[in-house]
Amino acid sequence: MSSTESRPTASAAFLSNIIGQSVVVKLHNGMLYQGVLESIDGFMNIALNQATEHYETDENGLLHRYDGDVFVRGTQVLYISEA
Amino acid sequence: MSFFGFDTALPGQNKGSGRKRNGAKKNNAPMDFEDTYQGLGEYENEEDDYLNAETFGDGTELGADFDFGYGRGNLDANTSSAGHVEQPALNRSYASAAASAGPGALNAGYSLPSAHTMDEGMDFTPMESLWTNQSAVIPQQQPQNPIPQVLSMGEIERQQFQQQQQQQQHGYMNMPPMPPMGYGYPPHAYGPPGVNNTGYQGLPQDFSQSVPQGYPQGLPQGGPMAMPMHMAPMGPPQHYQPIPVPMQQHEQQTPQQAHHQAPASLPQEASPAPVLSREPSESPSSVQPQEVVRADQFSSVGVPEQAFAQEMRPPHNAPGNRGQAIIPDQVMREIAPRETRRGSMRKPQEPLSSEELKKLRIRQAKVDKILRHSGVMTPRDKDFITRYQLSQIVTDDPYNEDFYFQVYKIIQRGGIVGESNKGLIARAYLEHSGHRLGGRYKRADVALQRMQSQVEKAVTVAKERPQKSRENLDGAKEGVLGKISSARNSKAPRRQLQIPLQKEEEDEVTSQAIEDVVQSMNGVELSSSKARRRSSYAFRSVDQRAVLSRSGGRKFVLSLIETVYSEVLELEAQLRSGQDTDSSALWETLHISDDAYEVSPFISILSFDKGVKIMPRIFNFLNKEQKLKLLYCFFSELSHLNIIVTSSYKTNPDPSDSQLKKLELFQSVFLKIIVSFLSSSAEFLEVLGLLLALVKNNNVSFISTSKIGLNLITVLISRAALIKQDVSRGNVLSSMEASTWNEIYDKLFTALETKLAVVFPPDEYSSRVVATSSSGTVTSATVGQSSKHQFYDQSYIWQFLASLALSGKLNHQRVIIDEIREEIFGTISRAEQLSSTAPVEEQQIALYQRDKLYQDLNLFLNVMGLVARDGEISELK
Amino acid sequence: MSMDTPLDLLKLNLDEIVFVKLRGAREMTGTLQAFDSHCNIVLSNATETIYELVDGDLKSTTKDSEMVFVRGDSVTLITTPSE
Repeated sequence: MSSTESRPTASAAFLSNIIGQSVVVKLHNGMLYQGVLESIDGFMNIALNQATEHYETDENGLLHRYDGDVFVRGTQVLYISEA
Repeated sequence: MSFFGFDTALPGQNKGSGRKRNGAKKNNAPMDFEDTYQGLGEYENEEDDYLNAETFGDGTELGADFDFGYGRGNLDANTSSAGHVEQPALNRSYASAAASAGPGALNAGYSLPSAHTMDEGMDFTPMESLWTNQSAVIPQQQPQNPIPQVLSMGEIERQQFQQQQQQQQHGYMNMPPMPPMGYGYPPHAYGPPGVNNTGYQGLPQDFSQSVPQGYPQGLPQGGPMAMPMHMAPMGPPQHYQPIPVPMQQHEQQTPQQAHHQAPASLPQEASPAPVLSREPSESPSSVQPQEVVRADQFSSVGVPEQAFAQEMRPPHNAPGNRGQAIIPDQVMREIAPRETRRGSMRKPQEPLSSEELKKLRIRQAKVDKILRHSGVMTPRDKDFITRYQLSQIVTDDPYNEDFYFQVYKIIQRGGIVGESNKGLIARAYLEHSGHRLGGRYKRADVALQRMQSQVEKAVTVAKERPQKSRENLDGAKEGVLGKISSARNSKAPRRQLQIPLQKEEEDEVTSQAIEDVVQSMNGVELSSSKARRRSSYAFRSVDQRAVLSRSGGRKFVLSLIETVYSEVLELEAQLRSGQDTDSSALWETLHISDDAYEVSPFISILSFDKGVKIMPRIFNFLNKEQKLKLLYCFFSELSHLNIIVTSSYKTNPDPSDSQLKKLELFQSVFLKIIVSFLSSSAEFLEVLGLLLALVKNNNVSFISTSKIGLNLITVLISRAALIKQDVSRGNVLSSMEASTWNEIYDKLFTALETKLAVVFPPDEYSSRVVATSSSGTVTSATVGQSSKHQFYDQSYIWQFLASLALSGKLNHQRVIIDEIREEIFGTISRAEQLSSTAPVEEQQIALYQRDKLYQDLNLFLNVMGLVARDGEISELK
Repeated sequence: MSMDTPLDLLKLNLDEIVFVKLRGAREMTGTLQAFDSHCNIVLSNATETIYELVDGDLKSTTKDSEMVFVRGDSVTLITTPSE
């Protein structure tokens, strides 16, 4: 284990603090997901609740609404921010 | 003790003399602090403890530059002699020396004026030639400033040792080499006061002269090693100590002369010294000045302690005695031994050339200076120093464990260096040295233990360092060695962040939430449970998501299932390994008796295929009571059961293939469990209880529209009927049981009355199910050899009706027949139609279907003594 | 619950029908039989839907598999199908 794993960094603190918040997740392919951050791990895998799907920005209209939890694969995540 | 210049002499002796004696101890008896320390605390005459003042200053002079054994002459002497003579001397034991050296030997004394002069000269001259020539090592050390007191102490010790040897030599020039010296020597140094005094007083000079020889010998290889000495005051190190000391002394002398009065005064007083020197030997009770002188003389004397003490004490007077009048004879004597040693042979004194003599004298003078301090420290002293040095390194309490500080504190407190201070200092020393006569620690082993623990601490600290670095190395490896990291990646993706999980917070939240729920439940427990029952009559359960949310939410139920699986796996593992299984955790997870949720989580667990699938394995670990509770819960909340909803034609008129599969799964798994439990272990009343739970808490009419629901009711009724029949054949049902059964049956029948026909699904539903299952993989709902000729299997319905009729009385049966008359005739007509309309090539299939329809119908009709055959109903014969 | 990682949440969907979005405008629906931390997944009774733009029109084709292994690389999102 590297030292970064045992020492919470500011970024990690941010990620743990926004759990339960409404967040926006952008993927490398341009898809944008907005929802409540259910959980997130060190691989940047993300679980969203009540997620909506948009392309690039939520102004581009709703593509899909997911009722169940949405699991977003960490490697695809471009960024995550508070909505 | 010698360190402090304590008077080791017996109380009876003169103060002055007391300090100086300590010749060689004749007895080999182990040194005991008691002996040396005697009455120090009580001693009134501490004024004489010049050493104290010199060592610790009078409050103003206190510094780190104590020089216990000063006098550069020593160095010269050492160096000069080093390399030659020394070894033999080292090998001598004090004990032997002491034993051999009687008072007489000591008396050889003779300090001569000439010696003093020599001494003076020596003092002033750096004598660099001597040591520079001797060894390269020594020069290097010269530049150094006064060596820490510790060294000087060690040196002193060395000197003492040497001196004693000298004594021996002096007395017995021809004595054979002494056996290797052990620690036995200390005793000599501290020998009984009386002995010391006697032997010694008379012989101061003698010793002084002899000293040189012994001393140098001790220092042979010392040079290079000198530095390390600081840390290793112990026995072995001693050998080396001598060298460093001399150097120190040399250096210090000049610069410090101002500071150390004794050294400064040396030159001047050198001349008087001779006179004085004699005095001491003669008159122990002489005045202090004299004593001082004596002390000086003694310093040269073989008795290390005294020599040391004197040196330290006479700040003002410190006469030049060190110079010790070296009489030619003495020189001769002294030299002789040395020479002989050089030759590695012990030759009795041989005449030396004047030059040689001169050199020897010079050396002698220097050696004398060194020797003044020899023997000042006892092994205990050195131990002590080691200990407090060590303790200073590792102590947690620097002030308390710092001897220097303790002494300093005492001095500061006392303000003036006086007797009282000395007593305190002595006490401090004793406390720290752990001597049994000492202060708080009373026993030496306590101090020893402390030291050991401190050493352990130090070692531990040292050990930890490499470990850390090793860890770092590993870390580096991980980073550096691609293999490791790649191997890791193959197992798991590289984690980029460690995100702290706010477990505690979450836990608090949950527990808080639970508390709230529990509280509210406490207030309205009854009503809430009623509400649950009531709600089951509503059709809210149609919405599966709503049901889940009422039992904690989908995610909660799913996580329960995961937990159940892990619990079951655990239990099964225990079972395999022959351990006793404890299913309490599993039971908790099932939330059977958990009223916190509107719908029991257990019911929701059954909503998921994986929840149904695990049930048989769960049942393996439940006892009968738990199973009954579970089934009671199950039947009570049957209306919420997802499978009931999806298998009811009313709520799910168009079942999907997957739903039919679920239905099939449930039937084959859970229904099977129930049947098996009821038929194997359930008592009559228990079956009735379950039936009651079903009837009381559910909309039986709704449940009867579902194939699963109907099946469940059938199972209960038929089981009860079977038991009743068994009982009636054998024992008689108790009146209570009979009446209970009648009551419950009436309730059930009442709930179904007028709605019995609804148990038959509409044709549309049947055909859809047939269509769906024919395109899919579900087979249980239909009958037929090929998909083309499949039809809805109604056998479950007739089974239900048959068991209902079987358990009912005649009027019940009449009601049933009345209500389903249409279905009966409808079935008969359908059966007749099949055979008449079916194409010739399908006659076989049609006939089979016809037989099946009649078979199912007759199951019911037979109960009432009727039989349907060939389109007609007749009485069963 | 909420301290579960996204993968823990994904675990809840085992033996349940899941909807998987893949790179390259593909989707897959099936019963989640297994997955790992790389998001390699095994689906049973899976249906793959491939979206294509043909002359500006979005067309989709489907492909059924009784059992399919999907390599984690291409997975972008996993959720429960909304019905």
